Amino acid sequence: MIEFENVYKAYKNGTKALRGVSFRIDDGEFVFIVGPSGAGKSTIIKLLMGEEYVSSGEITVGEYKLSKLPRSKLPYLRRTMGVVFQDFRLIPTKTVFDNVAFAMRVIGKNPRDIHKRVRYILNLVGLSNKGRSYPSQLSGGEQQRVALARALVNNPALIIADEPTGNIDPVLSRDIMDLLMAINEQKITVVVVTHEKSLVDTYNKRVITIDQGKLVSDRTGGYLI
Amino acid sequence: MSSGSLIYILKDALVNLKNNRVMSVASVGILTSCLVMLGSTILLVGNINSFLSKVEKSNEIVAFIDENADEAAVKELEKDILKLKNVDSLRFVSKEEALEDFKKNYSQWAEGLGEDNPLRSYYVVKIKDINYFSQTVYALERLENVAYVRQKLEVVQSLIHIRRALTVLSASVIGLLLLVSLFIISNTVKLAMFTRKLEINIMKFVGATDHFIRLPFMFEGVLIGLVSFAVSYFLQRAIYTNFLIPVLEKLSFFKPVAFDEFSGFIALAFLIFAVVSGVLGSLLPMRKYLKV
Repeated sequence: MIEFENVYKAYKNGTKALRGVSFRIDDGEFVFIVGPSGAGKSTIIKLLMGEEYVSSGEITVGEYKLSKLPRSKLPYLRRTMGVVFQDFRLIPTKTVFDNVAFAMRVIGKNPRDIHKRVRYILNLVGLSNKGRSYPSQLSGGEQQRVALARALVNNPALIIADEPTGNIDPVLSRDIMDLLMAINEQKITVVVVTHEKSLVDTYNKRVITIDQGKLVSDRTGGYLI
Repeated sequence: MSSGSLIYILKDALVNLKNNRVMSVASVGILTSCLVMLGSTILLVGNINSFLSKVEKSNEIVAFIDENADEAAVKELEKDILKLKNVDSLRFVSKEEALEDFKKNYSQWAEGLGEDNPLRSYYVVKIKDINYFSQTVYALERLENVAYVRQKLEVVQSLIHIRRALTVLSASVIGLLLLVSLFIISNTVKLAMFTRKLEINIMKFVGATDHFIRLPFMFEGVLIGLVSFAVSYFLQRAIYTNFLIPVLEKLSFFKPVAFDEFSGFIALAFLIFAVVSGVLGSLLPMRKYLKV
């Protein structure tokens, strides 16, 4: 469960990114967060990941209250979520297998579990035959699948996708979205941040619309702005 | 931490070193130079200290005995002198022996003395610690039947000043070298962190602890330190034995100390210096990159 309660966020340079935003996302939901550039979508992701702290209000992610979460607890919060970025953020010097395994290695999982789990996840995202390839040898859609595999590999309760289709063509975008839908069917909460109207309109899912730091609508189906 | 994680971290540190091999080799080179300078300072101070100790040992205070003291009083005086804390040994010189010495050394003056012997008997006192020289002189002067004391306080004070100056100088050199080493290693690690900014970023958002992220870089610093330690130890031995000893041996009054007398201390100093520089140098630049 994710809950934003009257969240305000102002940056040091004076920018007021969020102004009294409140919403709740239940476990297993699929939610789009939409809005124009500079609306505050990225701030929501940063706050969810603990990269930034709220100026006032409270955010709850599962058992964690983020307004007072000490830095030492951040890694444990982040292990409950998988994040996918628009620019994929794959390590170019590592193979597909190692890019995915990396997420397990750095939290201290043992090599046998890593091997088994990575093979399973690569199969799930349709990349079982690409384990030895390097990111530069893959298409944009395939690279995003690797990023998705990495986000899934630690079995998170929540997937946050920040403009996951921003760098790929429309046909492949549908593939990625279908994959996110399939992941959601496994009772994993999925939050997709996007400004692509066509994509949101295709799926009949809950849409939270943010504009100028305020929540302007929270309804099912369709892009409001 | 599991053995799998440890192996991963060690492997990662080695890969880091390999990927940044130019900077790693430069770091080893500069740290080795710092360590050789440190070793040379230690050896120089050690040699001067050894020389000073020899000078100290030959430093003597002469306590002249009162002319009215009889044989029993002179014996008593010997016991009193030996009771003083800083006295190492003493030698009695009778007035007859003193005259003989005088005649030997100053024959042109001795002729004028005739049968008279105006000289006094005296004790030559060797002291243990030159730092308590003036206190020992004061104590000797206060003893009964000591007429007066002859000493070379200025020479002694100069020696003490030289030793103190050397201690300050060597501490400053060591401090400066440590700063240089920290700067070099932290730059190497900074570069390694910069080139792996993306990896660190990914590690952070998949939930790696700061401790886990730091470890490979710390190992990298320690490895640079250990390699530098090994290279510099053997280099120092070769430089000292083949170049410095022959130069020092040309000074006729000076007998250089063998490297083996310092080898344990130098190895320990190098190891501590190298590992401390490695660990600190790698920890210093990390804060910026971990703040994600």
